[in-house]
Amino acid sequence: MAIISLKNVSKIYRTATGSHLAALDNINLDIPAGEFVAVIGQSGSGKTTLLNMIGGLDQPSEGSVIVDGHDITTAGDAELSQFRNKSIGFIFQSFHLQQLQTAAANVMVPMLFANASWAEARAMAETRLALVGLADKFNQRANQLSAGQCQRVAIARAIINNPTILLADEPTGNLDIHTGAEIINLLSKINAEQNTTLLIVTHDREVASQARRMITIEGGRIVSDTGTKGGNHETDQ
Amino acid sequence: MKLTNKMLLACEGVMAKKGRTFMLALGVSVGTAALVFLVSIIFGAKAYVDKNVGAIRENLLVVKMKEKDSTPAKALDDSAYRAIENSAGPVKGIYRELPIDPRLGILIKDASAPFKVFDVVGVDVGLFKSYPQFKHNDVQPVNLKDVTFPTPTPVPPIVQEEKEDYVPILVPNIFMEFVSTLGGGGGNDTIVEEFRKYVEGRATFYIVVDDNKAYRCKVVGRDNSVSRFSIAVPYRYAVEWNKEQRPDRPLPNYSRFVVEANEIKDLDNIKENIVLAGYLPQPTEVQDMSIIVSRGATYLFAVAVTFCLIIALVAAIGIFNGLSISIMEQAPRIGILRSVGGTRSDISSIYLIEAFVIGLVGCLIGIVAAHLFMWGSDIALRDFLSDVTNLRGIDTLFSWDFPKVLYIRLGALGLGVFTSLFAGVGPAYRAARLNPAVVLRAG
Repeated sequence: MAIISLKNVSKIYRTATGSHLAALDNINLDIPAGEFVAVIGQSGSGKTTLLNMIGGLDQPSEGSVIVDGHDITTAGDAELSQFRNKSIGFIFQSFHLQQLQTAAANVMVPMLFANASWAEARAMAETRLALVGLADKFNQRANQLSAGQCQRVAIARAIINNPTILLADEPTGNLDIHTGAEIINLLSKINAEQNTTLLIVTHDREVASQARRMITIEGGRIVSDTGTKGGNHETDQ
Repeated sequence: MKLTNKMLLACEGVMAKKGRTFMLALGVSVGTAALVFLVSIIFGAKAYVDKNVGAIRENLLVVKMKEKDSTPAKALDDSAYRAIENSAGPVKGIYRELPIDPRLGILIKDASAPFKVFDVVGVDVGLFKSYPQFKHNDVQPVNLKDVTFPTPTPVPPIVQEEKEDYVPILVPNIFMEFVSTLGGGGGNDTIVEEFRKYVEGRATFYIVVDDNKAYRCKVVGRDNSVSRFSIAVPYRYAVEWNKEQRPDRPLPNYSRFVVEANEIKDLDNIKENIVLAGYLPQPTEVQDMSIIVSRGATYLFAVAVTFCLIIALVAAIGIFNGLSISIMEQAPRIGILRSVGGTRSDISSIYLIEAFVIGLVGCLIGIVAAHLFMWGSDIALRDFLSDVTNLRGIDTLFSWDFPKVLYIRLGALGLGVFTSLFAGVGPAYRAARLNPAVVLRAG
């Protein structure tokens, strides 16, 4: 059963000159629960748009996107927000942490939106920070952490509500090779241990090779889809 | 999302940009302080005006000839006087004024004609020196405290006094010099009272008409204004004098009656009674003046309110700009909040709470600052201004009446917080409408 299902999805932007630009062009994609998928492609190929679409941050111009039982295409703001809160964990290249806030305060935020109390959120943040190896950085401000630690805090924030899907957009883009590998290992571990579906967007083939399935996008179209989805194969769409 | 959680995130947002928050709060503080200062000083000025102007002859009504609507016009003669006396109800007094009443000034002017120049005796006349009509070259100004008033010799036979109807022969400011020698001035109750006792107890005024006739006058004063003290002569003598001295000019009807109520609250009843009797009661000129001055104070108040609204508008624009810039700077944070489950409503609430917090903190600081500043300047400037402006009896520059003080500050707080919230609506709406995908990519 696919936890992520995209049918004939297109995303068309209108440019300043009035012409139309297809960021995604007739995408069909099914991702089963618990899978570790890497989406690769060059800059501007539509990787991030695809990720945003799956995460409910953006909506398609055409087609349908169904994620964890939610129809992204038709959902309203409240439903989409709740969906992002409960089902999705986002990890970004530039971490997007509040630099003057502590690691705990950053991690707690999604739980605050889930109507948890401050104490509950703080307790869960402690657990999640311990999970990513930052138990001792609980009260450390984000601007006092290294880049790798910042990304770990971002991962702790992404998993605090036990989402079913983790969406990572270039999670190693701002990290050195060694730290990047550690982050990918951490994400793999979460994927394996918590059966969280993991979708990583990257242009780094080394990172992508860690995934069990690799999807390549060019010009808004999936040009290859290889890996565990019924064995390695090339897909033309 | 719980309100407490929204407040928590709003406070985090406020603390994340301390510099901008400080500047915004400072702007609100200055605006609020200016507002409190302005309203307090206007209220203080209004209270001063009300106290000093309102105290002057507020319990008087003037009855004049009816004008257009009176057919025929009712003459203000003795029968009219009696009619008003009978209809007005309990009053403190009813005074008649003549158009050519024997005011001292007129007497003096007329004295250059065939009449004998009269003397004012029995009192030191140094105070009259400034009046050119007096030719007493030998008199010198003296301090009344050092004067022993002699019994005038010789005093012509005094026309016997009667109890009724003393007509004030007003000499504006004639007694001011008396009071000056005692070290006081208008509006100082103690000095006025002292003056009243001093003069009434020791000085006797006579108007000597000729070798065989003198009128004994008395000092009358109806309120706390020294300039309202008058020398009064029995009306009957004034009439007699008029007939004797100016037989070709019969005493005309009264120009007006002045009705003095026991208390201000009686005025409406008295007025109604007099109207029913067919006469036209009106406020006195002093009342008119006090109304004009009060209106002036009200006008000043309206100006102050206008200034307050302008201050609020300027503050609103400042807050709007500050929050708008802040939101643009915080776009990635908004993107994150949206990506982790924040609805548009949550985001707008968070930013409205930020505006509220900034407004509240700014207002509180402004109110405390204004309070301290006013308190300090009241102490430092009160005496100085009192001397410079010659406005006696300035107790305070600002309004410190307890309920009013509270209302002014609460009003300022309410207006400041409302202005902040109002100015925050636009930026909060914009924050809520930001596309998270776009701002996250840009960030």
